[in-house]
Amino acid sequence: MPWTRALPFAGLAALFVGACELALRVADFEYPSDTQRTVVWSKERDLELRSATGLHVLDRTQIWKPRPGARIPWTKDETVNALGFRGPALARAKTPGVVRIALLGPSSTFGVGVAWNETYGALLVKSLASLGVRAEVLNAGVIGSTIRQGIERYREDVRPFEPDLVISAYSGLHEHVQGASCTSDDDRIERGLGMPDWNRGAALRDHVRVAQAVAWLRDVYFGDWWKERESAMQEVRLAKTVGTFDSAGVRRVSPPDMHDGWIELAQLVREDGGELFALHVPYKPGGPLDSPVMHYYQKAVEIGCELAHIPLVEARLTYFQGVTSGIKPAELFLEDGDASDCGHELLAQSLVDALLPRLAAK
Amino acid sequence: MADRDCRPERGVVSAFVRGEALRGGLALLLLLVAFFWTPLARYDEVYYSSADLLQDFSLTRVEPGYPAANRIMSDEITEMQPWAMFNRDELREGRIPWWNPWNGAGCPHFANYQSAVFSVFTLPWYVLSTKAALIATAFLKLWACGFFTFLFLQKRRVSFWPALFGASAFMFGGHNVLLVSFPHAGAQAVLPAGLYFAECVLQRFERRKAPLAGLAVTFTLGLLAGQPEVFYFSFAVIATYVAARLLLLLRRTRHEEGAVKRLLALAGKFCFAGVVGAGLAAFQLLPFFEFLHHSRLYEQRSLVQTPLSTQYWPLLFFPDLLGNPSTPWVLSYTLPWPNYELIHMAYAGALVVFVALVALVFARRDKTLAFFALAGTAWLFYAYDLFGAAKFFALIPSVDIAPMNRSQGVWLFCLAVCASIGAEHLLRGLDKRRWLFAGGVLGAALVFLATFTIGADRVLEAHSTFESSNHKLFSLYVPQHVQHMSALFAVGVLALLVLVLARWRPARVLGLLGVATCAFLATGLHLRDYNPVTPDHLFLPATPAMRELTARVGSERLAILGEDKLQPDTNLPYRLQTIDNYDGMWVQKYDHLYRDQFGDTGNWRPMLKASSRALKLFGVQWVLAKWGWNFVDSGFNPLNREAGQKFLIHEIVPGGTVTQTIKAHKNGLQAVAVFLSVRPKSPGAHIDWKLEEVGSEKLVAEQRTTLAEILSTLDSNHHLRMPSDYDVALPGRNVVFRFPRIADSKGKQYKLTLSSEDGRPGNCAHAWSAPLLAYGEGQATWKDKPLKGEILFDFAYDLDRFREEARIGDFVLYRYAEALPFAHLVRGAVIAEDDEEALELLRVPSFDPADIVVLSDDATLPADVRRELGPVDNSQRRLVKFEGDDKVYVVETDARRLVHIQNEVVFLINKFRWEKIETVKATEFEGWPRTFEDMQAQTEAGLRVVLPEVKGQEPLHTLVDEPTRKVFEVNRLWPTYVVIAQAWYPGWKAYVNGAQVPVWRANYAFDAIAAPAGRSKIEFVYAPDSLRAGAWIGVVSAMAGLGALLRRRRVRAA
Repeated sequence: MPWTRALPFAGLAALFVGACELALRVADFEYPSDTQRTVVWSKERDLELRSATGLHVLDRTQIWKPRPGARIPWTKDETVNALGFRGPALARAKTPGVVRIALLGPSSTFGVGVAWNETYGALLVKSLASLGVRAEVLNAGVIGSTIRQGIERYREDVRPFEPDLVISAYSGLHEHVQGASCTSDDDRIERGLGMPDWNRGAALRDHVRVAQAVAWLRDVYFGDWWKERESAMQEVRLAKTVGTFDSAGVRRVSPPDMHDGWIELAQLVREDGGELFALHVPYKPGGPLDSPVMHYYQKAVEIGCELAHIPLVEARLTYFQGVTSGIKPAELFLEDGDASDCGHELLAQSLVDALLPRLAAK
Repeated sequence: MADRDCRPERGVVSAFVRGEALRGGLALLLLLVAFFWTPLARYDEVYYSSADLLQDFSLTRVEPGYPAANRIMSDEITEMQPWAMFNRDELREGRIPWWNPWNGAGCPHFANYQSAVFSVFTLPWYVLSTKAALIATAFLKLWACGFFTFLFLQKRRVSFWPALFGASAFMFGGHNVLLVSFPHAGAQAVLPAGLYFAECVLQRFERRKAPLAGLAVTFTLGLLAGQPEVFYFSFAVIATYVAARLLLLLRRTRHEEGAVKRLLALAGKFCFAGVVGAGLAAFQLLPFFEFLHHSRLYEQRSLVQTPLSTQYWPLLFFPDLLGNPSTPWVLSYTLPWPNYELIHMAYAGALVVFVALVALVFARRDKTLAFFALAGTAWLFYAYDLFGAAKFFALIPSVDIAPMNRSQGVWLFCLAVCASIGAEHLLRGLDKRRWLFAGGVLGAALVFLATFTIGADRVLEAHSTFESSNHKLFSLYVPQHVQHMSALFAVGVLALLVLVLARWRPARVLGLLGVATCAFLATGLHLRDYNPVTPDHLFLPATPAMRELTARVGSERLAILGEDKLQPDTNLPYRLQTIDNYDGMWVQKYDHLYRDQFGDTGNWRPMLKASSRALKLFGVQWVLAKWGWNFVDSGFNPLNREAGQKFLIHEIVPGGTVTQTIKAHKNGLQAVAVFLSVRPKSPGAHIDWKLEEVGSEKLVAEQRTTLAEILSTLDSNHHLRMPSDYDVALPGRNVVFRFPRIADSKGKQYKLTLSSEDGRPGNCAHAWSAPLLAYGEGQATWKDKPLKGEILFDFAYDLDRFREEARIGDFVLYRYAEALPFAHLVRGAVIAEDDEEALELLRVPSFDPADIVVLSDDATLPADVRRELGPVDNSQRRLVKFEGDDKVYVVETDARRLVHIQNEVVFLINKFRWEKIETVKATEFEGWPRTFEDMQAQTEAGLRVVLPEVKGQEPLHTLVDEPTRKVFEVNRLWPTYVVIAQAWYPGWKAYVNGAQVPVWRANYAFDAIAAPAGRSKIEFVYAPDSLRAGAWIGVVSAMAGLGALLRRRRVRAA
């Protein structure tokens, strides 16, 4: 029977494909479909975003934000509340006599590495309470976020809570870095560039390495693979120059956009009847963030705040006072440069000093 | 091997009769015409040479800014081509080029080996013009590799087309193509030729004399081809192959009577052919071994071989992935590490590798295939040190010192043979399972392609952060390269499938042709322009600078200061004698001394420092200094070139005066050189120089320089920054302020002032400073404020010793007034007990080669001379000088007197040490008589003295001055030493009045001959015993070989 003669061939072909699949897995070869390949945050963080079970989820307008109910890994048993913020969930309606303070900012605002009650937001509430001011805090901080994301965070998630005060801690930490896939935050948010449609789900090809290899070869020889490869290599090279002014890459938020972002945020907050404060969170000195470009971004913040009449809470001064009074500088920061519990205390203290006169006047 | 094949045996004669060898040779010729198309098509305009590299250097620059086509192909223009021209020129003068007098104070040329004087591949140089010879030589090398591969394969019963495929694959392998301008490619032909003749011997049991003779001649020509290491590996493969064949023959015939005896006899004949072949080349080998022994080669190699790197395995498919120095796509000339050539010498093209892998299917039934597959695999393990295999190979004697990166030809040949034999089996047609086979081939090809493409991507990723400004060219080159090579591979595989599947033989032949064509396109055609061409007018140009230089210097010895010079050995075609040398081996003692005196630098031995003592030692008569900055006896020049050091810039404008104070340590201060930059659009302004004595404010000298004068030499097209230049933002150079000699400058401080009345910001000169400098032991200021450190400057003394003879381009040519001739006479001698002591003595500032010679205590020094001159132990003697007095005395305690050491010569030859001199008060030796310049007293005190030379005696006459023979006439009242500024090297013999005398190693690296009192004729000839012995061995070998040939004839006739 002719079909029986084809059986050995089929068997061999299957064996061949199986061996190739195994070899590709051993060699750690991967080429997912383009929706799975686009880098939004970073290769490591995107795994978390893609899995939809990590601390963050992909968001069309905010790029990413904390996932409601997600476990906060460095804490004992804390989770992101049901509204997507850290800390206790607040009711939408405000309580009379209680000042509602919203916090926007990156990792130090969110409180990376510390427990909720050690964050400067929680400590601020506690300090104000001890001074007779009732306050509640809405921690809308997002790890790794920029002011561009912060504006959208405010619009979508914070605005409905009508905060009396908004404290924003964006000062260039993530704004100055290379945008993943050479795409700025504005391009992602405004134009949807570089935003994958992960909701489509992974194709069959994404599970079979042989199929990935075939697709890859097709793209190598007939597709746009080389542009992607060149762009990825350039990103790696440009990452080394991110601290210099002549870096040729695309930053997540350019300095002019940083400056404009503050003005826009101030307008939004004032339109809603609130008041915006800028918090200048110090960085670990001598590290990679201590670059000329970072100082330039901080200058952009200062000028923006001045032009927009945004009170700037200079926490660096408080840090300095802390150091002169005996605190070791290393105690103020965690290993990765975020504020330690001691640092959060000083941040809260600097906020209390700045807010109290305003609150008293109110 | 292929024993069950029923095709009839093919001998050379029958092959020629059938025209197959002729057709094969012609086909290979056609392929070579395609390969050499560029130099052939543009024959009237270009030379097949990388001589365009010389445009980097001012003396030979015709077109400023001319981009060299391939920057790493330097050896061919600095060594191979100049040597070939030297060979030719010497032969035309009726001399065999045993010795090169033009480099390195003389160096062995023939013994250098790579000079390949008697190589058959150097013959075109002797009969054709330079332009034709460049192409013909390369042509011949590749053709020989290919043709003999073809013959060998045919001998192994491979039919025409597969044999042609194998020949082409080997011929255009990376090792041969990339090194076609080197002797390596020619020496590589030994492998296929030797195997061919060996195979002829093995297959023709009765008529062996011709192929045995052919084998012997192959070994001889291979040994004369100029690359011993390539020969070594080829010989190893031939010997292993012959041994394997003999063993197989033994296995097959061991039951026959007398089989063992016959095979032993056959093995003996092979050995005899090898011995005769080596014997005939002994006249090259023995001098080479002698040179090895006296060269730096072993200390350079350090006997630790560096395996090839496996990280670049994808480049076996995509050779230009990380750049190709003959294209604009170059990330760095050291990528792939260490350079393109070394990595790609193993390049055979992906298709050849694939076909060779497919051929392994037939290894069980084809022993030839099995052998070469095994040999190729063994090479992989050895060369790449897989699983630590290299150390096991190193147990084989001499493998440990043979460099792995000369063995790639073995790999290429194995691949070519396997691929060819595999193609032969396919061409004969597969029987039933060709569809299964084709499926397997297709699957394997896909895996092969995918594997290499994935590997290439990873290599790219690994190098994505490599520092280079050329990453921007990535998209212009890499995707196209990957696609191009993959397409060639894919088409080649399709052709292979036709070869596998077609039932009709002509169709299979077409398939094979397709495979061969794709293989050629991926190797020969891809690499055809790697060896560049140079426009006619740029090939060793007779620039005005070179013409003037050669006219003035003639055959006297020239030292060119700095890196912008004539790179050795490109001085050879210009017949300019320089003291640097680049033969890859270097005469050891000479090279040690050179680097000790002039700076320890790269292969091209630039002089980054110099002293008048060194110039005398090396017999230099002329000095060429760029920008006129003669840094002989100054000290700053070689310092502070570390990469990344930043210098501060200071504009010299009204109010921006720069000053620098200097402390002079000697009398005779005569020049200051300051490193200055000038903005490109600054023609009109001036700089005013002033030198004043600090304290007295006496004006010593002043001058005015226009910026236009400085700028004219810094034009961006004109000026090329040399590696040793300062890393400053604006191009700059040393500008010299020379003034009349200050006779009493010692111990005084001077202030140099640089000012400008008409300089403007953006239109002025700039000085540079560095915070850590303290060379002048002074203070620098700018705008009246002190600067940290000093400005970039240097100063020199006693420049009147150098007479300015000409300004040649950016250079000034000086005649060194105190130069010593090639041979000079000295009375004083001291023996250094070891090399370290010799160097120490030579480094003493007061050592003057005109007065004293340091003899090394080698075996050449006879006992009586040793007795007379050394050892000297004056370490227990007390040396004193009195306060305020420079005279040094030896204290004679017993005689209660002080004996004056009359001069530095006596001081040195008695090996006194300056640090041992005590300064004492006169009262300590009150009442002790002191002698003054008293020879008798010094002798009585046991000191060696040198009798002063009687004035008015005849100088040394040079009667004959040929490269290998010099004759001097000396007429002296006293015995004397003739010191010859030629690199000491065994083989030079001296005859004084006809009687042989020893030649002593003098001044660490030179020669000295003792001349008796009276008139003497001294003959100094290069007649190495190694050459004589080698020649005799050759004669004996030739007689033995001829005898063996004739004996057979007579036996047959009987």
